[in-house]
Amino acid sequence: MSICLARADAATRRDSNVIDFQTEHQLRESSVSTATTQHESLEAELELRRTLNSVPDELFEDGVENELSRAIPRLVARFGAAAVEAIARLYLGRMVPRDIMSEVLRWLGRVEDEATCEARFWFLIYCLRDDSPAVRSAAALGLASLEDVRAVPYLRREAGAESIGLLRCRLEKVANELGA
Amino acid sequence: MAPLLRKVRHNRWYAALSSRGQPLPADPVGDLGTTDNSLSVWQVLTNDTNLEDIVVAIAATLDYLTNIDVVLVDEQPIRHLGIKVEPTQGRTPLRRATGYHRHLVQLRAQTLLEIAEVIRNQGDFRDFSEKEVRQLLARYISEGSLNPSELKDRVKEHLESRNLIPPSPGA
Repeated sequence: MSICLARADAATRRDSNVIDFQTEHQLRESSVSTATTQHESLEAELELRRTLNSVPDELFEDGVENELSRAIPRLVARFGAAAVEAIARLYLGRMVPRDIMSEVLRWLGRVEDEATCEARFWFLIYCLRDDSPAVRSAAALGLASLEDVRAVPYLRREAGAESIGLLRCRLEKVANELGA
Repeated sequence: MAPLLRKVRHNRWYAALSSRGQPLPADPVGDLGTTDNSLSVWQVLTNDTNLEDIVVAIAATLDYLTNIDVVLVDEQPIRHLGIKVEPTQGRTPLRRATGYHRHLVQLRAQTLLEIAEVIRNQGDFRDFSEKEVRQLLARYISEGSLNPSELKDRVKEHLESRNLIPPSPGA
């Protein structure tokens, strides 16, 4: 089962007022089994690891090109869903610093690739519940770029639970814009 | 006294804003990068009448279209820190906004921490979403205030793909 299908299934089977998320185990399992081939999946992960290791120790700035802004669209274009799954695996394994993962999430939302929309969407939804507020914020911004109205109830729910006022405003704003 | 605007990343301030009264976390300093000991800011006029100009001025310099986070802080507490505010020409394709640019000059490292504290305690954090920035750029271009040929390729392509500006010649 693919990430997107598993997530869609999980969302639709539950009461509409109770939005829940898959366990990390389920997501990890679905990630591993989704790639078109194991070889493609591993190749995507190796390429992703190389990219992340080559990211210089720099501060990311909004609107300023960086290594990831070039690499993430390239990886998704080359590997498709396998690239998204490789990112999810590294994320779940907590193998990527949260500041770098935040930047990755923002670019996952910006990638223009119809075939991976579902996988990217559900991964970003999952990341709305990360421990790190920077990751939660980046997931919301990624969803804003994806412009998928299905994100609205998830964003609203997380906004309601968000303790950081500035981040709560961001979640609400993205929800309002998508829902308008 | 009119406020000063600094482009920031709100996520760098989450921890700081949640811990007022405690030592300042380090991340906000990442939003206060200096060149020649000067910090680039913009002067916002009363009632924010030039705020959109400033946002477009910033957006027009970016490599790609994105949300823009900013913080506004009154000039007075900045001056109380002994900081000089000097008018300098902003480097932006939006000509009418260049005069709003300022530099906080002759800064010391310790002063940056004091500025960060002022922002943490008095800053007015605002954000302009990607959608808002896109609409602003499109409006300024359609009004003739901004020449799309002066935007970076990725920004132009973004606007063109949404039919907000005509395709570039030769595209």
